[in-house]
Amino acid sequence: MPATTPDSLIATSLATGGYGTVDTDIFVGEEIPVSTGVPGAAVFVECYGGPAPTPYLGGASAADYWVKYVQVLVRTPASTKATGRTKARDINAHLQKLALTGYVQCIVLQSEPIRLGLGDDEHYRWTVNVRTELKE
Amino acid sequence: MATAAHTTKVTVSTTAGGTYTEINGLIDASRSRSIDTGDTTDYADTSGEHTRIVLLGDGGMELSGDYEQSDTLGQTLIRNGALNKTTVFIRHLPDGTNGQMAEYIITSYEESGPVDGKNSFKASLQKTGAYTTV
Repeated sequence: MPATTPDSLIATSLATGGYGTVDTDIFVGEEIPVSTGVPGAAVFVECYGGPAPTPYLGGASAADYWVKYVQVLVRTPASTKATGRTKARDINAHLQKLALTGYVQCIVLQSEPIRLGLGDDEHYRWTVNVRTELKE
Repeated sequence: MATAAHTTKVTVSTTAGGTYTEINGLIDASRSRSIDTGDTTDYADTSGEHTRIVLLGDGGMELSGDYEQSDTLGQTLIRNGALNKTTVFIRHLPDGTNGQMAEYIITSYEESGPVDGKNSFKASLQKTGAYTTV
């Protein structure tokens, strides 16, 4: 496995792209409820599966082709719904054909973010799903 | 005992006794063997069955996988063979250790890549000379 997994790489890229700061309002892993140190407007990046890796010929010492899915969840308070939607769209565009070090490619799975709607905590959420591919 | 196909190794060299290097990025490899026959059945045969004699043997390989420009000692030899009409020596080792080798002519070579996928190649090879057990 690579030293840096795609969720970490994507979180770093989002920070570089101006979508926030890692561990401040961009987090690697599952969504964290709004709390001290975790703002309502935040982004969560987490791997969530993908198809089985394809082995190459060559036995145990040979590489495999891995397709890893990553979900980026964009959360925003209800009062800033439009801002959150725009951010989700911008992130979707940012991740399409993003160059990730060591990876063959990064492709978004939908042309637009998926709106999850308004939660009981009065926050809207969208998801951007990404397919990453690498040989290792 | 059955063996997993991913244990297969396919190695290549430009000379029979040279250094063989594994071809990287392969996802499929097949090797065939065929034998021509001559029908010797005549009017005197009363069995109602054909009789035949063995003529020439033949064989070939099909290779396919991810295109890897950096595989200079593996895939590059296949590409060069197709480009320059030169032969290569290939060892096909289904269990990673044992198999057969022969000298091959690359009779066709193709590279392709769908826009949302990865670059790949496939090559067809025809044997010249005999198979040798490795």
